[in-house]
Amino acid sequence: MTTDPIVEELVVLRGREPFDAFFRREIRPLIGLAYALSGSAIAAEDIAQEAMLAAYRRWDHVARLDQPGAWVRRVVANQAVSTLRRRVAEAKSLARLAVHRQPVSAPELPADGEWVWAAVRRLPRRQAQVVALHYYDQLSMPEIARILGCSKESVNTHLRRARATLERRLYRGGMA
Amino acid sequence: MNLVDERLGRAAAELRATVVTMPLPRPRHERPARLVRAALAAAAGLVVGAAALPLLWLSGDAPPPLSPAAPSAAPAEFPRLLVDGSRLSGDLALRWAVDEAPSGQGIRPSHLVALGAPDGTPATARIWLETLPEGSDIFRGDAYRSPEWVPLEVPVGEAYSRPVRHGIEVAWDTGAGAAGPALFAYGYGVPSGVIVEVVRTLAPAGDGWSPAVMPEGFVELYAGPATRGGTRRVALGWDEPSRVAEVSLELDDGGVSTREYALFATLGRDGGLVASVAAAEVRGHPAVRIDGDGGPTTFAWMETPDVLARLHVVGFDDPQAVVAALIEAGPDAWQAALAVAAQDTTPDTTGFTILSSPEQLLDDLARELGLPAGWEFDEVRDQLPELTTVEAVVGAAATSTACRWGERWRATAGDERTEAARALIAVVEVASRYSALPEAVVEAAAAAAAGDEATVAAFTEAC
Repeated sequence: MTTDPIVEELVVLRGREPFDAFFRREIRPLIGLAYALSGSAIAAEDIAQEAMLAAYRRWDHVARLDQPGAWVRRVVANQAVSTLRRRVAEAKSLARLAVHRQPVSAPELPADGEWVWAAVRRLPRRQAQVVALHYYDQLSMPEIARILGCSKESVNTHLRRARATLERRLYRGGMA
Repeated sequence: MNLVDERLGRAAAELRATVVTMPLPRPRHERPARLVRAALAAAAGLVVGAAALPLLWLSGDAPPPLSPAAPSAAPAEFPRLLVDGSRLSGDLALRWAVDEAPSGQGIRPSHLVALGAPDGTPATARIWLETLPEGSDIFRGDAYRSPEWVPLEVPVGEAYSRPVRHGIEVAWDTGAGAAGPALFAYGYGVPSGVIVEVVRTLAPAGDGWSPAVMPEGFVELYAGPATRGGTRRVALGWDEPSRVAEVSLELDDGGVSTREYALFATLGRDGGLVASVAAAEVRGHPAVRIDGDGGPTTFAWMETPDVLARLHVVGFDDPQAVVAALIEAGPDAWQAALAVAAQDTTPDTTGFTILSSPEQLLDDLARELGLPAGWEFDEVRDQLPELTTVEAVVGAAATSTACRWGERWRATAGDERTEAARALIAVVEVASRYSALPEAVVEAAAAAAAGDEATVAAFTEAC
């Protein structure tokens, strides 16, 4: 997700951004990213919140990173593609809901969007991460490479393969 | 732009437009700790075993497993080592932190990085980090690329530790050593066929210690066959992407109980050069100090009656110093260790016991799961001859327990039903620790929490 240049400038001038501002700016995009990759509305907020909580606990360090947003995106991107983690997060969220009736924010997408993201989620996890970060978060190849800890060439490869697979599934009836 | 690009772009735009209209969630860190603890206790069931010391989860949920791609994902078979760290002294403050793992080329993707933040009281801070092959109560996320963790806070005056039945427990302690400020690393636990790595960094800063990001190198502690008859071997290695060096040492085994020896029998690997080995003393305890070819860092391996072994690291002149522990053991070493342990008739003063049978694991699971009186694992015990791995035993026990709680959930209402739902979640949590989590159990737990009668019914009827 792109950030406001003025905010970024303020961050530079002040040395570090207050966590609360960081949270307000990033939590919703993170939920969206988690949802895009997990497909679980109820787990998406949990995953994003956990990433934020992790950042909060280490804010002294995270705030000094060049891109704190990349740090939490890495956490979310990896958490959200794990089926097991997603299931556990979902179970826990449901338990919280059942016991404490805490509201959970969840995005609701048009049917076609759901269909597309469902196809993305069926990709190999790295490809899915690249697609989500590129299209949803509108990040560049170097930015994605930094988040995922791989090379730009690798990101390009994943994206190319993902597009080919998606084309097959979305337009040639390859999607089950 | 082709059709796929267009469609992806449209779907992404829709999702972005959707999330910006969502109400801003309340930050979890703003929740009062007491409330969060209560919520967690309710959600997770808090079914930690009786041996677990007081622990306060401040953030949340059961830890998901680490990356299944890590080499530690290999099925772990019996026997394995049980570790009881609860014997450590308790007048300790604790803060902890975990930071990003190294992401450079050449570092294996199973590494975890932990950074210590000793709470501004460097003489007393102690940090326990528990790592499991497939998951951890503290570490969360992809073992290598996705650092995430569940914050753990222990009030001043309490120490945190807990038994580990599937992996290695590692702790660090900072304080004054014989040679000045020191970092003490404690590593226990050697599951057969499992590789667990923990990376730990600390650097002296002023009169205290502060974390530093040191992804360039790490030290490995290897386990392997050792000889009996008075010697044990511990190998310490220094490994960086650009260079590899090792130090190793042999320690006199005199005066150590055979049970301790059983642990040490699993340690050791011939290594490289040792520049010097000298007697030392750390906090009044005898120690061995080893100066190795690992840069300016000095290592010492020591023991006390309370803590079996310590890796004593002093002299952090090198800001890039990173300490890691890698312990592995092969089946032969385990058999040798078990043979020695079987002869041991001395009281277990080390806190270590060896889990040698699935039956023992079931007994532990019964405690961890907090089974109500009268509930037994009879049907699981009948299957034990076919359950050859820890994961299989835990999976069967989890399924069995979940079936019973599922039936109770269906048969009850109100508070009793809520309690059953919590118990199902607790089963998920316990099984997750052992990397053995049947999907059906997860689905049943989620369904019970959501009030999904049909799914729970389908689950229990299939039991």
